[in-house]
Amino acid sequence: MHCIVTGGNVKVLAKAVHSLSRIGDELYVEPQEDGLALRSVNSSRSAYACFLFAPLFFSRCRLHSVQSVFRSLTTLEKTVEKCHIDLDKQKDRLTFTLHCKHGLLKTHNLSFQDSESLQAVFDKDSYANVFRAQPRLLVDTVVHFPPSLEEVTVSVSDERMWVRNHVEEEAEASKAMLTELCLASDEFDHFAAQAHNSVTFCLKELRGLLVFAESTGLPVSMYLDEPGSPVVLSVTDSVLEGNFVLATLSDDPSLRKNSTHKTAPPPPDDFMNDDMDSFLIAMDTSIAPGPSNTGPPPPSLSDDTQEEETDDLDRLPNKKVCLRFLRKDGGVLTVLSKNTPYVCRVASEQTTETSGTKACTLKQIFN
Amino acid sequence: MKFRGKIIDIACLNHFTRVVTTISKLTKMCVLRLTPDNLFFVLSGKVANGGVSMWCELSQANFFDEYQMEGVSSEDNEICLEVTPENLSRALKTVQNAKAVKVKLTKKHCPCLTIAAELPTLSSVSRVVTHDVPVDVIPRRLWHEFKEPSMPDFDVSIYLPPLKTMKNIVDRMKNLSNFLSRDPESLVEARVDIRRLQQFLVGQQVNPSKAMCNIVHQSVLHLILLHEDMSLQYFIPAVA
Repeated sequence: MHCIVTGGNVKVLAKAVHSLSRIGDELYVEPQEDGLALRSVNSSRSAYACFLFAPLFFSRCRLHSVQSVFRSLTTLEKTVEKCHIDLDKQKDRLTFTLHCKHGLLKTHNLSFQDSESLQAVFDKDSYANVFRAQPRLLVDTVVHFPPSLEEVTVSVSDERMWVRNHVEEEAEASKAMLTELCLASDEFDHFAAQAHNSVTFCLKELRGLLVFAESTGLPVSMYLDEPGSPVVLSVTDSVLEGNFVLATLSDDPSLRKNSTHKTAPPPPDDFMNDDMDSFLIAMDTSIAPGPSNTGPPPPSLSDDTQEEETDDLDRLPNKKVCLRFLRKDGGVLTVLSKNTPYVCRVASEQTTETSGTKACTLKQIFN
Repeated sequence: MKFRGKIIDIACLNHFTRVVTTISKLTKMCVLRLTPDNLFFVLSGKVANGGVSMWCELSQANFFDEYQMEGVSSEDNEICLEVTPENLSRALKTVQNAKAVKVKLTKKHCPCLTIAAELPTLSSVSRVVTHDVPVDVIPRRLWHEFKEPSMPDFDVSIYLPPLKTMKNIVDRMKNLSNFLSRDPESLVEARVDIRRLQQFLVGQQVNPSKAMCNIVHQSVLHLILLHEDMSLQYFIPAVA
């Protein structure tokens, strides 16, 4: 793989990487047919982000179907004129060459290791509630909450959106400061609330996207569904598409009572290690993995459906519902998030490859 | 008990916020006394906070455009609340550009001081943000602990130099010793814990029109800051 990024796009690339670094520690780079995908996921697998750069983003691009993962800590680089990205499969090296002002050339060689593709499964187009706003609106909303705040609850009605901080019931709820902000529908570029839902998700992970959106001026689209379904935030323009997928709390009251869970085996250390024989937890197996099915079933308001889901999710030790990831063999790999990162696998017929285990070094790219 | 105040003027809001922020830097918790004419932020000297006490008096008319309160009873027309000033400060800081800010005593999951602000927007509907700051109501039988302190019989009274200058000096002196003696040339001195003094100086966000310091020999350091519409007194006890 060999790509060249020039001019203002270098900054955009840097900002995208910067915003991904606020989600997780590892950057997944995947050349695809429709462009270069950069992805990141947090350690508890409750937040996922993906930026897809179309070939037009690059001055020149030759892609092989190679997947790699490497660690990168990034800060913005303001003096870079051009960036070459080279992948050397034989030497297992990914090279970033930054052509800077005054003839300065910075070369970063990173070792990488093969890994399986990381792609969250979500279908935002099937979501009941879609909103689009200028990033300024969301930034102005988020500023009212302290930076340390973990979770916010977003509720929508036909004409309004409420954002308030979420306080765990067990904690000293009586002493916590509660903040609530109400936004009117005409503050948004687009406001379609078909289902009056309330979802709770982590605010910290959203801030990474907001920084990116504000600096690029791109409107942010927000896709909300029922509690438990991830909330998706996207930015799009002609040459890139960024998606941030955040797990939400499932507020089914019966889930809250299930705080003990003794039957599951301990979680594996290495998420990417595919050699897992034990079948850990049966998730909602009614969703058959397949190439066309990319998301959870559409929300149903009937009580019956909710009860079924309760049975399946009954053994969840934690109320936060997971994100689904697509494995490269087509099987759906589902991971529970937050405090108990259980990994679960819907039965897959195909055998799995062992992941490569090359040494991975930390390098600073944009500094 | 009822309390409802409204601030419309941006300068007043800004000033009020800075006062509350100053208080928040001096102490984690304090008592807010509300009377028909004034607001007082009070910290009574206790062993827990190193014997330091504070009395900050604000005239409500200088900040609020509307102010209504009903105290505990008609004889005791006052409200006494224990509050975390940092929460108030945080809430106020985010609404500096508001069209109007209301401060009310409410009962949500517990007694709260609710700060509700109407923020300007481009749309026809204003954006409303509310912050509910939990408070504890102080019963009448404890009110005597939070009375205005009497001026001590000081031995020396000094007009202080600009606080910024003092702060710079105190910052450097902190590296030399834990204690600071004031006015070593004369016979009057009070050794105080330098961190307390530093804390006081660091927290100052409001430039006072007058700053004075009274010293009671080996007993207490009494700092007084006077501003047009607010006064702040801070007592630091001397150490042996």
